[in-house]
Amino acid sequence: MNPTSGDNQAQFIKAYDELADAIFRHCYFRVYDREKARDLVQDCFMKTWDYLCRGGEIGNIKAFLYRTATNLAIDAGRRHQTDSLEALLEQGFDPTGASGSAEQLAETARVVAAIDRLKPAFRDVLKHRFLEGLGPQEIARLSGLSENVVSVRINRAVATLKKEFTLDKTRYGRSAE
Amino acid sequence: MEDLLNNISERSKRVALTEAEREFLRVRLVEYAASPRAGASENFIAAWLGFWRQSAFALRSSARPVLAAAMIVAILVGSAGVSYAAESAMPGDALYGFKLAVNEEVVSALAVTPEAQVRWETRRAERRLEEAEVLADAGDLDADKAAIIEERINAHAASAEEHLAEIDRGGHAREAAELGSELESALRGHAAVIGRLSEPDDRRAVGAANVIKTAEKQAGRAAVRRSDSEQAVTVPDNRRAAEASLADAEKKLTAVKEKFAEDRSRLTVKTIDQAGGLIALAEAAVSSGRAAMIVEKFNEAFAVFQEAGRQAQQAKMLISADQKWPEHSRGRETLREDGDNDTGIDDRNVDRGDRWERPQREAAASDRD
Repeated sequence: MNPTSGDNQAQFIKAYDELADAIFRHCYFRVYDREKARDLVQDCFMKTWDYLCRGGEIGNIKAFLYRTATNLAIDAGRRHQTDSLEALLEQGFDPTGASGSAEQLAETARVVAAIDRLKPAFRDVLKHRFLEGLGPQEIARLSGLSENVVSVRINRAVATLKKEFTLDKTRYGRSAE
Repeated sequence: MEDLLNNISERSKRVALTEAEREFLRVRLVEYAASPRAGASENFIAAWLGFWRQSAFALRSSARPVLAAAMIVAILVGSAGVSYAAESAMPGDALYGFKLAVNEEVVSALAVTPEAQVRWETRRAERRLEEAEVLADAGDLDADKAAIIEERINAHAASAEEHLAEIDRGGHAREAAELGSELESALRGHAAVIGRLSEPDDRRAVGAANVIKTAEKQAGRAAVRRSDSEQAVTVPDNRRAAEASLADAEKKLTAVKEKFAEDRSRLTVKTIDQAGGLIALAEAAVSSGRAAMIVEKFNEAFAVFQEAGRQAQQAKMLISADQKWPEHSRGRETLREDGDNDTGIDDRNVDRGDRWERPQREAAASDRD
């Protein structure tokens, strides 16, 4: 997609319409702050537009946006590290912005915090799969891995998360089931 | 564990932008893509083509097809660089009308919800005030140019008010109060900056004084409407509104305190006094709001937190103005006799620097697990 070779702003805006929520969710589960995630979404699309205007070529706009959002979130995360369960709960972690019981929210926060403690390869694939709702095929396209590798990695990541969560249970006295 | 993850997956689907957020970002993105500030400056012909196509897109999706059609006709009869050149036009320039009637109307046509319309009209009022700032800085804000700007500020504020009323009528008093607060804050902040930029002993200060008066008059109207909306926030939404407003105020306050501490050594004494005063007021308002929440006076708390947010925002604008116009910040007094508590420049358009790394395909080889 390139403004100079036939694509245009309307298409770009269409991409925004289709992907804004997905990119927002991707950012949110990396910075855990609605306002910051919203800013990252804006930055992500603007940077992508700048790239196109500089003559950059993009084969897969979705993958490009995800990667750009990841870069921006990492950058933001360096300035405001927020990866502990305590920090999430302290901030009034509420991913949906619309409730759920306190117990559900706390449970979600514990799982997300446990995911954050995994190594990056497991963490990323679990976030894509369970927090962003992407299927293995889509994750494979975004990450440049084969679908088979993604599926195996998800299974291993879930197993590791289960162990991690069991440790968490001893800290917070909650069941993993 | 799988069940738990699936439950969380279901709940996570609700993590999304609100409609107002989505529309707001969309408007900002369309505005950005149509502006010469984007990478379009390196390839503005391409941007122009995109702009034209965007207008066609507007025609297809707009609830006001006649307007969109008029824009397309205007674009067709214009030259390819008109839109680009018009973006930097000032009152009195030949292309200024094009900037208002075509460039900005394209964005208006794409702002389909009342919330998006209010945000865009607020932004348009800010654009007029930013034009006044540039002219005042150059000593060129005479009464004629000021009159053009004033007329537009009145129109943008009236349009915003109309849409705020619509939001109120739709039972969204909280959103109306928040958007009204942003409008009020923007108008007051920019008015104070213009006061700083104009020379009190210059005959052209009349133009600046007129713009300031108009901006403050409209800020006053916005304040009345905002106050009504604040009172109309209803149970059970008022508790949630107060909590959200507290979080927003605290975030703004933390950000401005960090900025204040970081830049303090480079600020003028006057700015230190004013920004420091605003920060102290905002802190006091947050404490007061917290006290109101304890006794469950959520509407009162919501209003006080909103006020704290405006004060923090204006302190931030004051600091930014001092840095943007340093030569004016030193040794010049504001035109306003009571100019001791508000000022501002919105820094949303300040270049944040290119801290983005060009995307590269991740090597699958990293997967050794």
